[in-house]
Amino acid sequence: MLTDEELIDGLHSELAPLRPPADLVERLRAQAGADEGRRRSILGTSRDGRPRRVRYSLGVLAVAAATVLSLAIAVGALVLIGHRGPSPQAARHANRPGGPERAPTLAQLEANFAVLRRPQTAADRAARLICSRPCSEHAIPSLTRLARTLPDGSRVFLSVWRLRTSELHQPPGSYVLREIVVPRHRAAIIAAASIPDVPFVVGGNFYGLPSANVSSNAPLWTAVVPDHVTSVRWTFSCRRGGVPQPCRGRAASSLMAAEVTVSDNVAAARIPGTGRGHAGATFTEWLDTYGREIASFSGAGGGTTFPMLEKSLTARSRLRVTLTAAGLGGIRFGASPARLQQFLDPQLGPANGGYQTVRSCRVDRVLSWPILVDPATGLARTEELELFFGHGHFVGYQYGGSVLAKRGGGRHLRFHAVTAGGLALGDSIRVARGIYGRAFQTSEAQGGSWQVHTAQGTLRGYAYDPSTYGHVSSRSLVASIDAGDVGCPSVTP
Amino acid sequence: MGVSGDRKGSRTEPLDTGFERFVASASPALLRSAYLLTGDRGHAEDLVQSALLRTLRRWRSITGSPTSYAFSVLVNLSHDRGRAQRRRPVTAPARELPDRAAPDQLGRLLERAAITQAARRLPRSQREVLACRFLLDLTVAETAATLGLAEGTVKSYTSRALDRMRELLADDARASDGEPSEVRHAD
Repeated sequence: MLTDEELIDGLHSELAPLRPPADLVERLRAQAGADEGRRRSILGTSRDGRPRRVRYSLGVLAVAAATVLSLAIAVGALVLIGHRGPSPQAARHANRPGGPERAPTLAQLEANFAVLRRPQTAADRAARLICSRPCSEHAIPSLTRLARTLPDGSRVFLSVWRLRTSELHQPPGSYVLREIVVPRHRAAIIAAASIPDVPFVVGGNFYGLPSANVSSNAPLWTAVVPDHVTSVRWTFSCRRGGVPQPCRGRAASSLMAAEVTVSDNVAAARIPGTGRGHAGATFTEWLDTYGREIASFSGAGGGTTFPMLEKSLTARSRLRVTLTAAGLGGIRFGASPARLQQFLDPQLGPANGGYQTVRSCRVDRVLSWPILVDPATGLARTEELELFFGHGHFVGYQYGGSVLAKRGGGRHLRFHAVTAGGLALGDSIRVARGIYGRAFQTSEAQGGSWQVHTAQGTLRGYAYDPSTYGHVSSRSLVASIDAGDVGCPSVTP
Repeated sequence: MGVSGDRKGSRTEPLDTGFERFVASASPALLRSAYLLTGDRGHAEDLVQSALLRTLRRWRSITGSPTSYAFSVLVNLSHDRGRAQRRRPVTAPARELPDRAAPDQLGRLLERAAITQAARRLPRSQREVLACRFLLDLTVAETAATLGLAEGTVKSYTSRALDRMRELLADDARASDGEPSEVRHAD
């Protein structure tokens, strides 16, 4: 049996070969220099520490004055024409159950398409100019979004319509999400019939295959996809309903496939050698961030039900918690653990491991619930809600996606948590910026993180992009949402 | 010049000479402590570099022992790293991912180091106390202040950690002799 001294000596001698890299000081010098440069550029100071003097040319001043003047005119015009944002009618519809059994409600559409949850911008509102009868009679103006501007200048708008009569195979009162592609040179459209409206409808009779605008040699294929689908794989072949058809192009001799990245709920790509007289889309696969298949659709059989809406939204509708910088739902920091358990236990069941003791700076107890979210697509995500306590008071929380797509790793619960602004786990940084604007900041620290200062305090979390670990881009995803004290922060002491 | 120094836009500036001396004297012990906490040489080097950089930013305002300060930053960074790893999904099925980077020669040596491996199997709090007391040579009072513990807790953690290491080493010895051993995972 080894004595204490022998153990300690053994530890020393075993770890002795471990030495810091020879260039450690050089690395620290370089990093400190880079930090200093960044600090100066943020503070606007010169190398000697004095504030940099900024000189503006007359031209810059003139442009700034013109911008301020145009903004003032635009604001005045909006006030005069009585811009009121979402109509009370639209708001009423959001709370009403959908008409037919399979048609999604407005609330379901908003919950499954992040692009509809972000605030409307001036570019989104430009769709009004190009949308006249009958589109103007159906479209809900506050729910029109410019989803994509393609490299050739074409714009892809998504527009929510409420049908007044039976159209698009839907009964009156249904809500449908339509995709409208507007070519670059079209600034204003007189009638809906004159725009190459891609008849892609998210409704009771949804078609999983992409639609093509075949006005050029390289047809533009587009499709609308719900949240959590990050790319689609389309297969083209010369078959119609399973029967081989004569056609030209590469797919005439073999199958042809294209993988297209999704952005703002839209997949769009020009694919030469397809379209009329060539190969058509016959198979679609929806893929998640990890390249796994979420759902697939074949051409045979035509329309199908939209797969994600029903089950996932039923699951989401049971407990919806608003994550704020001051607490969870209506419970603010400072509350007792009993109050939180009273609020969450009925829906989530008892916390995992009970009221556990931890030691992490000001946090001494924790309650946690593993939550298996299965959006009815074969993709299971395990998320975890952790509540932190210090001296018997609620001091912070962390809600994060985690771990593997592993079935049986948690309880299947009906739980949905979003921030007051509408940010949810898995939303992209692009969506987050749309919600919070310039207040939303990202950092490469800790492999990618984000924070936003709100009136109630700071919300923060990790950002994640599996393809570029540590680098935060607009495509990175929100991996966690935290507020308050979550244990030892690395920036201290 | 190191890799980072070659990066566009970065500038090499002289460091405080006192800080350079501190890096030279404290970094080996910090690196060994970081290894005890993470079990991975690469991560340990990253943690030490980040901790030293943060120590440098506060160098002039640190009142107590800079080693204690750097170690508490290192401990917090390692907590954060663990938390960040839990919060991000893995990008491939677990069976395709190696547990850690392929070990180099030194890595293999450390993998075989029995006492180090026994220490790695202790609970995190006990590992932190061991690192403070025996790798950084801090006193009980300094360890307590660095880790925010009572002095009595430091003493009991130290005693329990050493006892547990002895048990683990004895179990390993029995297992290598072919005797059945009690399987207990402290961490």
